[in-house]
Amino acid sequence: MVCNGWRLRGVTYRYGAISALREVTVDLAPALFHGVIGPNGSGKTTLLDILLGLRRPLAGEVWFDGQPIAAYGRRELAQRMALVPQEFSVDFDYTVTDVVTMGRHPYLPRFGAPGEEDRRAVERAMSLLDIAAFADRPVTGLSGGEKQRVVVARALAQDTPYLLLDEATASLDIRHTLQILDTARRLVTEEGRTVVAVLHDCNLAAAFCDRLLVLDRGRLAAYGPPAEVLTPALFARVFGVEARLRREEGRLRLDFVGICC
Amino acid sequence: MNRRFVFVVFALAAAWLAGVVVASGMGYIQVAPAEVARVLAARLLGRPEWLAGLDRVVPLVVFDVRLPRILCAALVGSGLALAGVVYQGVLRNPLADPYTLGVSTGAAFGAAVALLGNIDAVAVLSVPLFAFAGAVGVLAVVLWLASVDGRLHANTLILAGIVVGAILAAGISFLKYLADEQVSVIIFWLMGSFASRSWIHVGVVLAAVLAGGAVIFAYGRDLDILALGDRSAESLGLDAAKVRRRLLVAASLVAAVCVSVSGIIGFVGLIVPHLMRFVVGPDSRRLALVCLGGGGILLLAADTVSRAVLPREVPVGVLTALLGGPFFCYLFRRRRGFRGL
Repeated sequence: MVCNGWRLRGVTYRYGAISALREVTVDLAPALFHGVIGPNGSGKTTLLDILLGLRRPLAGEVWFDGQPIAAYGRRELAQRMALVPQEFSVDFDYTVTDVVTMGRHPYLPRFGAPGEEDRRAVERAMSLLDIAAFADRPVTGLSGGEKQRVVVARALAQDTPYLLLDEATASLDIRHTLQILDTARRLVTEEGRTVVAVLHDCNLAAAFCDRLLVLDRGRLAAYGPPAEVLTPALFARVFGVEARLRREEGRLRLDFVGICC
Repeated sequence: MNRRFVFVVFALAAAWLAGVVVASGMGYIQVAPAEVARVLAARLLGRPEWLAGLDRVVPLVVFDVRLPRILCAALVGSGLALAGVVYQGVLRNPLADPYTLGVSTGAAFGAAVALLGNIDAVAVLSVPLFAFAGAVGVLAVVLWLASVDGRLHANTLILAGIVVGAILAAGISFLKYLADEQVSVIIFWLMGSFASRSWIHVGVVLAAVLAGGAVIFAYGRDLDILALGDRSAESLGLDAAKVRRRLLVAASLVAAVCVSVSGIIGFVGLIVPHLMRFVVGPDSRRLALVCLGGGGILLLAADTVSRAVLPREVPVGVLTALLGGPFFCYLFRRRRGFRGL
């Protein structure tokens, strides 16, 4: 499988009259942790949907792994990309194992049952997220943090070279947030997979990501390594906040001083 | 879990078979189960000599009068429960039943037209055909109303079903008003009954249940995946709108055939999937399989009570609602709300 990431050229998307993405042109290289940041309504989720092939741009081109993304079938895309959505609700009392096994769906024939390889992928994903202990419990009875780990495990069971996180940690406490971002980081560093994560916390984005993509009202405001992208000027322009940056033991730290006009 | 599932399937199959045999013996003329079994074996295997020694009326009563009615009831129960599994899954709503999209009101309207017009062009199938046409017509309108940009959302579907159903309910009231002396026929049909159903009806329902069951088996895992929500389902390679439409059409056609043959029988399609989910869990294929058995047994029992136990025949639809409603309330209280259902 060739993995050379995404090539976006002039990607534009609208919901009716409301513009979501305007002429976004960017290359996302493989084997990196890409963070997507931007204010609410700046088009982050729409961008993720475009990367996933769930939405087709109204104008512009999307290339993925060397082909126009439209050339892939849904199943092929699902074998290459997995999504961890922000909110997760499941109807009915599926067990944790049931839900994680659903990650194998793109590989299963219509009438076939999960085989040995599928079971191994499921077990591996559950042990990575440390949820094997409640494998047989219904998902509906879990806490928010446990549930989100199940969703991440489901995406990992999909065993794809690309993993997309859509504010996957938004509803989690700091411990679970770090656990999930750590897992994603290891997938990039140790296994050469590619992660694209929509994040709200700019400090976390700076700490975990190799590249940051900043969206501002649908436009690409900046793209590059965190140290180059995160500047006081950018925070003033895009977020309308006054930010101070300092380096602490080689790490970038942001302090938000207040709202600027 | 696997062992338990196999056990449940065999237990339901055995109970179903026993139910059919026992029910065939019950009624104005009592026939012992052993004799019923003999009649069934003789007729099904084509060995008339096995009937020697039985009263000549017994095979007639058992095989030509009771059995079609009994199998009709059992198959309609299976079909409604099967459709309930799909509706609850696809609409992501534990309160959905096979009639949520207005299929029953459409069928009732079609049947009322046929009954009012005294249409008997196709003999015993005239009313069912009109009912079926009404059900399919409503389904088409509801699907058309609920499609937004080629997508089908659960809530939009439910709303469209309610609106179209309300309009047709008014239409039925108007037909009743026009019907004058025939109003009782229409009302009786609306309450649902299996009285004087024949082998033709059995064949029609059996074909619908088998075809619907095949579709649901093929799309069973997709139905599970839909429970994750559309975006997650699509990221797993599913065309959510397509799967939802196919499953809904299949389940609605099964429900339409059932309601055409039996009239409106409520609560079976709502309760059986819930009950069976307690027993085998939410996996759609397993659930659909055990619902075939559970729905069949439940409606067969209800029809037998209405036919042979009560002093006077009560429309089976009334019976299922009177017993099923309170039972559902009990389940609802015991599970403390719909979350666990």
